[in-house]
Amino acid sequence: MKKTTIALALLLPVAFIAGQYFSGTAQQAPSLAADVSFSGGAAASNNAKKSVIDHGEVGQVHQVKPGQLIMDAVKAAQPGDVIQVFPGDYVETVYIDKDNIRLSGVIIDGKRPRLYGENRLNDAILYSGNNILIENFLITKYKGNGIMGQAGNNFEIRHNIIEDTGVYGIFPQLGINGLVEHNVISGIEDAAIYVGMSDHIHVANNEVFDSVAGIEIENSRHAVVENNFVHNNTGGILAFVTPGLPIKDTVDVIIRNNWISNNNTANFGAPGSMVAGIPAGTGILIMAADEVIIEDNIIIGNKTAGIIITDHQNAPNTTLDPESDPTPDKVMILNNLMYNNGYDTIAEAKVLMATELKQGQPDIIRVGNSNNSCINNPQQYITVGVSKWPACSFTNTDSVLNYLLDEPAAPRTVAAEEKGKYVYLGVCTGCHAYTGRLIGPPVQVIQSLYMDEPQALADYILNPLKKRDDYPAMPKQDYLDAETRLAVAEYMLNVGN
Amino acid sequence: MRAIFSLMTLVLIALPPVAVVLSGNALATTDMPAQAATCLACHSAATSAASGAPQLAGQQATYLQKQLQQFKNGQRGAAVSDVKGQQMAAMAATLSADDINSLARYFSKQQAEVITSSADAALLDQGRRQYIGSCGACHGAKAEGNMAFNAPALSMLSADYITLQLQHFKTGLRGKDKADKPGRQMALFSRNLSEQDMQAVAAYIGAGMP
Ligand code: HEC
Ligand code: HEC
Ligand code: HEC
Repeated sequence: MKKTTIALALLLPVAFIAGQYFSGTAQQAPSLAADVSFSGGAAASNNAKKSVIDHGEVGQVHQVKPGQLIMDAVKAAQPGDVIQVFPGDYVETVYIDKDNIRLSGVIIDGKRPRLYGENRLNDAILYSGNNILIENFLITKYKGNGIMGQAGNNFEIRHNIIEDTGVYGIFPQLGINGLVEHNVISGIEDAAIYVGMSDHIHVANNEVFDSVAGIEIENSRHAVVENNFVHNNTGGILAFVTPGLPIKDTVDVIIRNNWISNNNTANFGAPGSMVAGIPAGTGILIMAADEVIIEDNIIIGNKTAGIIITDHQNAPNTTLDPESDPTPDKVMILNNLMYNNGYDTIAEAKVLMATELKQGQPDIIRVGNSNNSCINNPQQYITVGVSKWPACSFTNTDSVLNYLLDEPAAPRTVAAEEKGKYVYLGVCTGCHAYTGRLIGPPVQVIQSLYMDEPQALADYILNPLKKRDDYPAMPKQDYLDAETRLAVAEYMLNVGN
Repeated sequence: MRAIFSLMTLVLIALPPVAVVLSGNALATTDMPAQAATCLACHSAATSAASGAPQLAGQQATYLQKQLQQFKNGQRGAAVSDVKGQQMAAMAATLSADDINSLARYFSKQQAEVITSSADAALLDQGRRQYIGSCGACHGAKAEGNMAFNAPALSMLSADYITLQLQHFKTGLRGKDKADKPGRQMALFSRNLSEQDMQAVAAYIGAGMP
């Protein structure tokens, strides 16, 4: 209650300004009213709206209407400001490099603002600031990313619809404390939601479909993935360690209460890329990640298997990284509803089953090593490779509401001499691993090509030429200034694994 | 030592017509430069395993030209430890700039013969990861070469030849000269490879698998 009053007081000035501005116009932006909870319930619910941003005093409201550029409003905005974008088409890339911005689509009569990439533009929204909120957009026909975070902490990305948009739908990279909720994402060549090298993340209530990977938690720690509807992808939910990235592990992930069905779409990832190795028909894939709990999911109709657990050695298209532990340890499978999976499984799975003298359609397949893993009530599933796993010492994760931080993470401030490093970590490593092929060629190869010529590299990323038939085009990094481009080029040429 | 190599060269040069027949790829005999038959004594698909000379057919002309110039000016094949390279250097010494251009152009238009070796499945799998993971980014998905990087085709090369060249790059027999940028690029990359990596990736390419 107390919280509501404070929030209300803070919001009043905005409502006032907004009201003034709008008098006489037909299209009204919603007032930014405070949340009020239904008072009839007897017990507390864990459906409480989570927020990871302390918006502080709300600043100015900037309104953007069709014909105007969102980017102009971003340029004019100060930390704390709200940018309201009215329904209509916006053909641009929005790059937010300041803190505390709320980029908010205004939905009127069911129409939301559409960011339209014309199959030409690379990214719809990029942010490198902290405390960024992005909501209510329709994003379509971009070639690279729908919404990409580049080392910004405390983010909320919600109520967006992203269709047919390049490589990653929502892609927070190197962020701490973030929420990805109530988004609908489809038609993505790599991962619809890709959490990369981030900590304390909550991915909930999203629908992801018709993509190669539905939700991917990669080289990230402390994440909850819950209540998502994940269907008709090649692979549903992935917890991965990708070798060759600067953060070497994935630890502490809860995957619970998701509906994971019919992820049988033929793999259309770029050949040779890591996701291109995912067999169509995979519900959940755990590769080399540790401490992953799988609980109360409904996993049905995934033709290869409901859950696959693998180490790096047995995963196609991976190279080994001496600094990454290739083994998925402490995988914990609690109760799940699994039905009609594995009905058209891969030959490798059949061979494994034969070695256990089993037949049938596998719900769970484990290949390669895994230490200290456990499974409850295994008799209910058709399994291979987990018959020696003991029961887990617990049956649910009810004590964990989420892994978000109680207090917002300190904003990441980047000293000038570290700029190259953070752009490298926040942007480049999304597509370039040190060794091995992600979306782009490995950094080792780039180092050999450019050797001691950082300026040539900096020039390339401003306006990349297409050089390889079997790789997609590299997106322009023209939103970075010349100094930053050179800094990242220098960093890239000197970085180690 | 040197004398023996020259002798060997001479013996092989005495064989050209036979080699042409053996190679089966000298269809365009009309515009075939005079020395090409000599070259094929060592470089044809039939003789390359025995001679250690790679197939030249289908290789990029600019790459062939560059290698011949380097053999000639001592950037490649001059070291005492580089036995095979010395043989070729002796050959290259006899070629004029015009010869080099026309031979390079000629061989680049021929079609290589597919000769594939087999290897252990685990080694091939390791080689595949290596190839897709890195080599392909410069040499192309099918080892067809990529002019954008001056990276030659590897698809027609044998596992043994590839392994030897990787070792030469790594130990500085190739790609050392400051002005040889493509050579330096390959040399820098080769330092990431262990002996085992080289064997694996050479086996994979030699098996014709990219
Ligand atoms: C969305 C994915 C993506 C991101 C992000 C990305 N790259 Fe790339 N990059 C690629 C792809 C794909 C290629 C291969 C392009 C080609 O061969 O045509 C590439 C190629 C390159 C090359 C090789 C150029 C050459 O001459 O062969 C360099 C250098 C490079 N990227 C640098 C960077 C840097 C620096 C960053 C970060 C600022 C970055 N890239 C971010 C996808 C990406
Ligand atoms: C006596 C055998 C022999 C003859 C004859 C010969 N070569 Fe070679 N050549 C070699 C060997 C062996 C190598 C490999 C050297 C090494 O290992 O570095 C080679 C390498 C080459 C290369 C480098 C190929 C690459 O892929 O890097 C070129 C180009 C070449 N030779 C051209 C020719 C031409 C043109 C002729 C004819 C004028 C010719 N050679 C005649 C033995 C021969
Ligand atoms: C950075 C780009 C790059 C990468 C990565 C790369 N190469 Fe190369 N490679 C080159 C270039 C450029 C040359 C030509 C060198 C010269 O002109 O002497 C070359 C030459 C070679 C040659 C000599 C071919 C011949 O006919 O003598 C071999 C063999 C070779 N590379 C194998 C590999 C293998 C195997 C890998 C992966 C493990 C690899 N390369 C990765 C750029 C690259």
